[in-house]
Amino acid sequence: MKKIICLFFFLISLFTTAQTTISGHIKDSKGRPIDLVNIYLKDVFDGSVTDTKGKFTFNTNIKGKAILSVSSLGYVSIEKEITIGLENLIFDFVLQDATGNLDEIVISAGVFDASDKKKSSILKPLDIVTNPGANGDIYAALATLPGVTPVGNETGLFVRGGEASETKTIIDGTLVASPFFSTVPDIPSRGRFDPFLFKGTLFSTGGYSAQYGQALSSVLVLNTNDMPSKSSYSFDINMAGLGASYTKVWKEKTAVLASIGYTNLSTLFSLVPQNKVWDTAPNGTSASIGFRHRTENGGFYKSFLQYNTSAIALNFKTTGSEAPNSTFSNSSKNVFWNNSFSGYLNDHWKVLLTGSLSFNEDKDQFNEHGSLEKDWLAQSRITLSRRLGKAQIRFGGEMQLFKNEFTTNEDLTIIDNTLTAVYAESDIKFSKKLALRVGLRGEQASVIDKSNIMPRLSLSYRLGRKSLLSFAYGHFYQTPQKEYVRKTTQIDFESATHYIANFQWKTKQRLFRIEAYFKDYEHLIKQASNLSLNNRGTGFSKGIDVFWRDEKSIEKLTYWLSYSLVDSKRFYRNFPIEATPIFVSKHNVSLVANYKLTPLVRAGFAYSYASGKPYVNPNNDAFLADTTIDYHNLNFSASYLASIFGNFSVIFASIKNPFSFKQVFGYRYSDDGTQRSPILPSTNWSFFAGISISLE
Amino acid sequence: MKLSNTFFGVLFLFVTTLSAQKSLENIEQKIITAYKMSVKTKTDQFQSVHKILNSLDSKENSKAVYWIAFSKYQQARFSNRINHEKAAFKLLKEGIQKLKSIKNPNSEELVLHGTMLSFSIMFQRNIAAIISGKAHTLYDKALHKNKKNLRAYLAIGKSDYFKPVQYGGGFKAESYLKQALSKPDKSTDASFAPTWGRELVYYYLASFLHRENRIEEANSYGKQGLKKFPNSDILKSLVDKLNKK
Repeated sequence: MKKIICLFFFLISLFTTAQTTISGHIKDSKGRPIDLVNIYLKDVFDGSVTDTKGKFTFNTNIKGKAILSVSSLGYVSIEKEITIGLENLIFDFVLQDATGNLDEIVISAGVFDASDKKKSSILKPLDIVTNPGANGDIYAALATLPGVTPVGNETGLFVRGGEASETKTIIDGTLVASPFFSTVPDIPSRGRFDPFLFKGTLFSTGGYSAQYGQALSSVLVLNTNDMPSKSSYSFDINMAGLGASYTKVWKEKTAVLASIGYTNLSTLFSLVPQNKVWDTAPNGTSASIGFRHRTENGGFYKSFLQYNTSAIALNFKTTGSEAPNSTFSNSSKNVFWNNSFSGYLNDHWKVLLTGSLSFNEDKDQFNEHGSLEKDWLAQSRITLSRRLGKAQIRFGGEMQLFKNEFTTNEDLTIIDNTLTAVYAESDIKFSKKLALRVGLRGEQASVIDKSNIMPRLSLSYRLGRKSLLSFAYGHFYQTPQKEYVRKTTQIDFESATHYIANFQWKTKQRLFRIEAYFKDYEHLIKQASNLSLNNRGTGFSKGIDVFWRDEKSIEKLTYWLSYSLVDSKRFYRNFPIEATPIFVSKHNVSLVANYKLTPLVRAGFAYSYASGKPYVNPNNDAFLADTTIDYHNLNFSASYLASIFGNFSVIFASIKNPFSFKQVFGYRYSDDGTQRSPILPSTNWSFFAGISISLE
Repeated sequence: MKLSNTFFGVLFLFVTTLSAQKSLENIEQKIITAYKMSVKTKTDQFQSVHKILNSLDSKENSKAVYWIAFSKYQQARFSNRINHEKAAFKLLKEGIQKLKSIKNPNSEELVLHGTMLSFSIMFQRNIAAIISGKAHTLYDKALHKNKKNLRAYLAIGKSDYFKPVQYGGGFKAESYLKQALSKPDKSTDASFAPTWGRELVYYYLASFLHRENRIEEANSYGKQGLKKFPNSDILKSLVDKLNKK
């Protein structure tokens, strides 16, 4: 029995000494511990992960020579041959920064990308949808990015000293002729499209791809969602209206999406004191139907048809006049039908085919004067792309058939324009550190019978694992606005040349970027002293945009801070001298923060500041020398995810400018210049609340 | 002979005393074995586990709530696997009720509660975001109570792994799963504290890296996992898949 007991204890001691413990610390070149480093015996796969102190420890049963592998993303891996015996082993390692081991380099100058797929994206799609300052409007969300000046009494995006008409919206590759609801003077309107329609948003504030044209300042490229994951219904009700949507998915290959909505702001306006006198509060209807189909060979077809109507009527007080108030009204109809197909022609070539039809009708009435304007736009585009060695090449063409009918005082003018364009572009990645995009675009516009060639160039150089330096250059043309073409077709394209330098530092949860730009405008439409039009207008815009996004420093808080410095002057339109236009603020700041109070409750705010904008004072001989007071705006929003009768629901509320910061967008003077009235927002403060319920 | 009789007598007395006092001995392994046997035979093999858990007196039962809920969780996993969805949902609700009855739940109980809630999303997808939110609240509390809890890191990492990228998913998974690996199997010295989860950590970490197309790293973690859990079917099939790449 003694033998048995001895054998028992011998086996125990053998078992306990058979294992060797390998432990140690791992630090970076500055002596800081690195956590989450993978350390293991190669081919044996005994191993561990370092803790927050860089410490690791694991046991192994093997004896003899082995390779100890140490690796962590962003650091140079180490492999060390070791001999394992009965003694425990201790190792300390120093890992070097792996500047050579980089993510794929991307062209980043001038681009703000909100995507769920790309590592280069700066915002997430939800950042657009949940932006506290936006109330679900894509354009209002983008206005919190650097380079965009908030202009409270105008519709559109004003990018880097550019007019709103210099920014174009592209949905699934096709131009949107009327991206905003129609409105009346001094009342900015929202974008027509539901932000939930889109999976990705690429907002280029300059130097954009040769695939796009007809925008002197900026393009907003929106890509609609792919296949929905499941069938569902949803109902929305809020202080401005109600809506419903339906999605049906068949075998994850085919889906139909439909929605209807009705909006009427009269109830909300009756609850909030108004600065305006409304004859008809903004109201409208919308209906949309979408179709998705994935083909057997990986092709994807998307179709989206949307119909909107809207109406609005405002009563203006005529400044300094005993005359009765004036009424300005608008009613509109809009149809947008977009189709796209993406797929592969063979193993190498990818094709994107798009086609769209749109129609917009605006009936405007100013007292007894009426006008009727109708726009038709038919367009098609084909883009072919493939990889060729280190280069990704793409080329294609597009055609836009545009017709405008404008009737006023029984006069009818018609504009017919066929814009044809071809483009070719290549992204060449010379190494993991250096990438170049070179492109060329040519256009011909029949209405002015002119053509152009536009070179585009972008270069990105990776300075380190997290930092990137980029440059972009591009030449851009735009057909003059229809109000000028209506007067004469003996004019040329307006043009701008962009020069951009960008530095970006990015980690998974933080981003800093600073971008300097110079935009040189030429051939802008200028009104001569005899009121004829020519292309002798010039201008420039230069400045610096700074952006900081952080979701790491404070747990559960995501915020971003934008600052833009803009110096812009133009000698165009009816300007007697070169001057800063009325839509330019020299300093622009915005701070957006979203805080997750609990996983079900979120709250956020958006603060915007813009220094005063110039306005025309007829009593001042210096043209556009006066500026408005600085602009401040603060919005709060909150949302709560709830289960209502077992259905997923979102309850949301927001309040705009609760401290009633005084906002003045300009002044309207009496004919003799002795009296003036400020152009104010429609309300000093406002609030909004609603609920959205999803059913399956 | 006398000595050996004495030795075995003492040993027997020691073992029987222990088993009498600690009916929960090896309960975790018994439940996991019951799950694996159920999967293998495609019939419910939880009867013996239930017998042990039901036999506990009320005092012991209060200590065993975690394991009762855990057995219901594993049984629900099995029921779901054989498409008995209603039964699975019912078991989860029962388990969650048990955990809810604990007045001051510890870190492990909070994680299990959250894990069972997360699993219940399969049966009530329309309120997925709300349940996921509740589960996250529990995970956060669990981590707050014990930062060494491997299963809390696993739960958050796994949740992020499954969260759609457009809702911010895929950013925390790697970090939380690696943190889980750096934690000990047992988060406390308490008797019968759970030890499960490391196998799943390896599986989800390797799967996440695979999804990110970081095949070499995925392979490394998959094989490390398989070394520690050589009988793991999920790790075996994942490593096989990775080796085919």
